[in-house]
Amino acid sequence: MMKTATATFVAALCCAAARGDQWCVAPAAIADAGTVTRTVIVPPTADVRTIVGARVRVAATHPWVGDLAFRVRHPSGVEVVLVDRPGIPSVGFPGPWGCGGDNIDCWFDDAAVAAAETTCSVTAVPVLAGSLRPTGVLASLKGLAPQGVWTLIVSDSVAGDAGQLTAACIEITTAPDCNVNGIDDAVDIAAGTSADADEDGVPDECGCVADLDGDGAVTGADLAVLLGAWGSCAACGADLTGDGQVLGDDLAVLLSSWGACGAS
Amino acid sequence: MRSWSRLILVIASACALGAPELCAADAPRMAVKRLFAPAADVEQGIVRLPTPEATPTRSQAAVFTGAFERATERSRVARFAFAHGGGPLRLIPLGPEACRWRGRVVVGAETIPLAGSDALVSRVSERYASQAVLGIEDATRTYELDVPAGPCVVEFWSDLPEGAGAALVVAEVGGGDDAPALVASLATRVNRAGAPLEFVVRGESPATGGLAPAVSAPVDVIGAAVTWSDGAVEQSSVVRSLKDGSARVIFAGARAGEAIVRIDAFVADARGVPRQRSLFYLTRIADGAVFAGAARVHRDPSVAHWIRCDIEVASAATDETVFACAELWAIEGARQRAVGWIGGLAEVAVERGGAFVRLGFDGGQVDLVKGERLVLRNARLHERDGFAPLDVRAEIVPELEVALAGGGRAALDPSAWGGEPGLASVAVPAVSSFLPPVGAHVLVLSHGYCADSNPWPLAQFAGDAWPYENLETNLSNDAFAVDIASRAAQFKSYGIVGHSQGGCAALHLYTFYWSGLDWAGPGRLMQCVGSPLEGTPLAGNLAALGSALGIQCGSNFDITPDGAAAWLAGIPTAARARLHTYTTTFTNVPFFYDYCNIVTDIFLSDPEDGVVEHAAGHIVGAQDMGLKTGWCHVSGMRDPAQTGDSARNAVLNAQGAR
Repeated sequence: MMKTATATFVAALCCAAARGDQWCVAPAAIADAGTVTRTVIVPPTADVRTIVGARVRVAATHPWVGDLAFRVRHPSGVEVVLVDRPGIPSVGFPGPWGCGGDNIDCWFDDAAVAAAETTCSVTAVPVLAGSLRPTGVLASLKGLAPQGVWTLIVSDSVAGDAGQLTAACIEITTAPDCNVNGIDDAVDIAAGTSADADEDGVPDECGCVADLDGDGAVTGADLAVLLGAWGSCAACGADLTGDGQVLGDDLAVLLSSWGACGAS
Repeated sequence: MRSWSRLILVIASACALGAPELCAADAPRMAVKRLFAPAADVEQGIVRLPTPEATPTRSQAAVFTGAFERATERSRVARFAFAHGGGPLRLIPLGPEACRWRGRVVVGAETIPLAGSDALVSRVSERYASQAVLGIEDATRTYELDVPAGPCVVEFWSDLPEGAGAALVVAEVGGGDDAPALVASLATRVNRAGAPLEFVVRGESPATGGLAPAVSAPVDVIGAAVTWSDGAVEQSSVVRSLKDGSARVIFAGARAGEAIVRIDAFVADARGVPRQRSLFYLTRIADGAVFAGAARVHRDPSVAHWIRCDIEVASAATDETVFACAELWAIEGARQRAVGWIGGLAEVAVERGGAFVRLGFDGGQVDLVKGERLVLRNARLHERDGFAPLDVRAEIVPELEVALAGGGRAALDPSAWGGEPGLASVAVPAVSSFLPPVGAHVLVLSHGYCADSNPWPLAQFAGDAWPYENLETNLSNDAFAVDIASRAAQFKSYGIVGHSQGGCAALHLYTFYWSGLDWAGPGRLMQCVGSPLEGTPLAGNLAALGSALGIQCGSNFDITPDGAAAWLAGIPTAARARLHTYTTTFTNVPFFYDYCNIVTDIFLSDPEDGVVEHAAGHIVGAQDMGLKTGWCHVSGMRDPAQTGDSARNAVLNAQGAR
C-alpha cells in the first residue's frame, strides 16, 4: 500500500503525471475459481479536493482472461466494474468460454474508444492492452473524496486456469487547486474565499486578472480597455483592485502583469 | 462408464460455472472466418479448382449388385453374369453371411463348384476376407480359379430371405498393375440440377513392364445408369464413342443431391483382349446460388482498414449459406499479377434490393500501384455441405470504391473482431463422455465416417483426452466439423486427433470457423491418421455396395476425389500448415498377403491402408509425418488398426495441442 513508487510504473508516469496521483495495490495470486481483493489507502490529509477523473491500470498474467472480472471499489462503497469476463456473452467469436487470450496490461479509461468487454484476439499478448473503455463508468467516482481504503476485486469464475495480478493502480485526478490551499478552486470561489473577477472559474490570485480581453496576454489591448473605463466604475472588469474605481493603482497592477499570462 | 446422473451434473455445472451458453436455452453460435491467402497460394494453385480430369475414378474390376431370389422352398440364389476374357479370376462375393454361401461358376458347358462342393475343389483357391469396411461383421470367402474365356454365370445359394442383397466383385488374378482400367471423370466441375450430367470415359492399359505411364486403351461402354438422390434410376440417354477411343456418357436433366453413376464397359488389355469393367462414380448435383456478374469492393465502416467485397448472386433462398471465394488480380494493360485470394462461408444477404455474399480482407494486404485495377478471377460458389461447385466465373470486375494501397502495413489480426457471427448455431453439447472436467483444455480424439465406436484407446492418452462420439452417422465435412465444435463446446480449448474423416473435419473446422481450436496452446493443433484428405476411390463403391446390401451410412461426396478436390481448393496454406498427417500401409508378407483388405485392394493404389491411399492422406502445405508399415485403416483387416499404434499414439498425445 503505497503511493506510486513501483518500478513498473516509471514508464507510465512519464505520461500520466499531469493527470494525477497513482495509488497501487500489491501483487497477488489470482486463485483458480476464486476471488482476491487488494486494497490501497489514500491517506487522509487536509486536502479536501474531490475526484474529477480516474483511470485504472491492471497488469495480470492469466491464460484465459475470459475467466476474469475486475472491479474497483471506492472507500464509500461505490463500485465500478472494469471488465467482467470479456467475450461473454459471445456472438460467435470468441466462443462460449469468453476470450481465451493471455494476460492483461491496460488502462481502463472512460475516454478509450475500444471496449474492454469485447476486445479479444487469438494472437495478441497481452490480449487486453493499451487503453480500453471499462464496462462500468469511472466518471461515477466524480465528486467523491479520494481519501480512504480503495479495493480492487479480482474474480476468476472458471476452474482450470489461474494467474497472477502483477500490478494495479488507480490514477486519481482531483479538482484544480491553483492556490494550493487544499480546497477545490470552485469551492473557494463559491465560498467567497477567492475572488473570480474575470469569471473564468480560476481564483483571481492564480489567474491573470489584467488580461482583460481574455487573449492570454496582458498587452496594449488590455491597456486600452482599462483606459476606456477610467474613472468611477462599479464592478467592472478593469477595476483590478476592486475599489470601485479605475485609477492609477489599477494601472500599476496591469503594468506589473505585462506580457504573456503565466510567463512570470 | 456412462452415468445419467453424472451427465446431468456436468451440464448443470457448465451452466453454473459461467458458461450460460452451454445451457439449453442458449446454444453457442459459431462465427465464420474470413479467409485471405497470399498471391503465392494462387500462383501455386493451392486455392484453385483442379480440372475434373485430375480426379478420375478408376476400376480394374467388374462389380455386380443383385439380390437373392427364391430357388427352392428353402434356398435362395443370386446370379451374376459377365463376359470373361480368359485366365485366372478372383471372385469376391459380398453380403451378410457371405462365407456361408455356396457357389459355382458356369462357363459354357462347364460348371466349376466353389465353396461347399466336394468336386474340383482343387481348382479353386480360397481365402477368407473381412467385410468390415462395408460394415459387415462376418467375413467372406474369396475364390481364385482359372476360367476359360466366354460368358460366365456365377451363382450363390444361401438360406437368406428373398430380396437379401448380394454383390460380386470380379477381377483378374494378378491383375493389379497389369490389368486395364476403366477410367471416368466428370466433363465439368459445375454440375447443376436440371442440366445434363456428362462423363468422360476412357480405358487405360499399363505399358509393358509396368513402370511406364499407362497408355490409353479403347473403351466400349455397354451400359451406364444413375441413381439420383431420390432413388430414381435412369439410364444414360447418350453414350457417344469418340475417335480417340474414349466415350461420353450423358444423363439429361440431373437431379439435385448426391448421385451414384454406374458405368459398365469393356477395356482392351495389352493383348487386345476385352476385359469387363464397371465403376461406381459418386457425385453431387449442386442446386443453389449463382453469380449475378457484379461485385463491389468498399470500406467496412465498422472496422478500420477492413475491406468488404460484396459479390452479387442470384439465389432462390435468402438464408442460403455457401462457400464463396475469388482470386484477387491487379491488372494494368497487358500486365497482370495475383495479389491474393479471399474466401469463406457466407450467408446470402439482401441489401438495397440485391442479393450478395460478403467476403472481406485487410486493406493492408493488397497493394495496387497507380494505374492498376482490381479484378476477381476464378470466382467460385460452392454448396456448404459437400462443397459441390455451384458456379465458377472466370472474371468479375468489381466496382472499386476504395483505394487499395496497403503500403506494406502489418496485417490486421482478423480475430480481433471475430468473424461473421451466427452462421452455424451449434446444438446443445451432448456430453457423451466426460473424462476431463468442463472448461478444461483437452485433446479431442475423433473417429471417422460412420464409425461404430471411437477407435482411439483412451488408455494410451493422458487424462485430458476426450473421445468425440457421434456414431454410425454420415456427415459432410461441414456438418462433422460443426458437430465436433458443438459437442466440444464444453471445453475452453482443444487440439484434435482425427481418424479418417475426423481429420478432414478438424481441418474444416479450423479453416472455416472460430472454435476451441483457435484457443489451443502450443503443440500440434490437428493430427490426422488415415484421413482421406484427397478422397478415396472407395467412396463410390462403398456407397453403391452399401446401398445394394442395405448397409452402411449412405453416400458422402466429401470423401470422393472430386469432393475432396473441391473442398481442398478452399483451404489456404496457412490452415494446411497446422495439420500433421500420418498414413499407414500393410505389411507385405510374400506368398500370404500384400494388402490390408483383399476387397478394397482392388480399387486402391499401393501403398494404401485398406481405405485411404498414401498419396491421398497427405496434402500440399501440411506437415507430412510419413508412412508407417504394418497398420491398416480399421480393425478386421490384415494388420492391426492404425489407431491402435501405441508408439504413434504416444507421439500424438505428447505433441498434441490442448
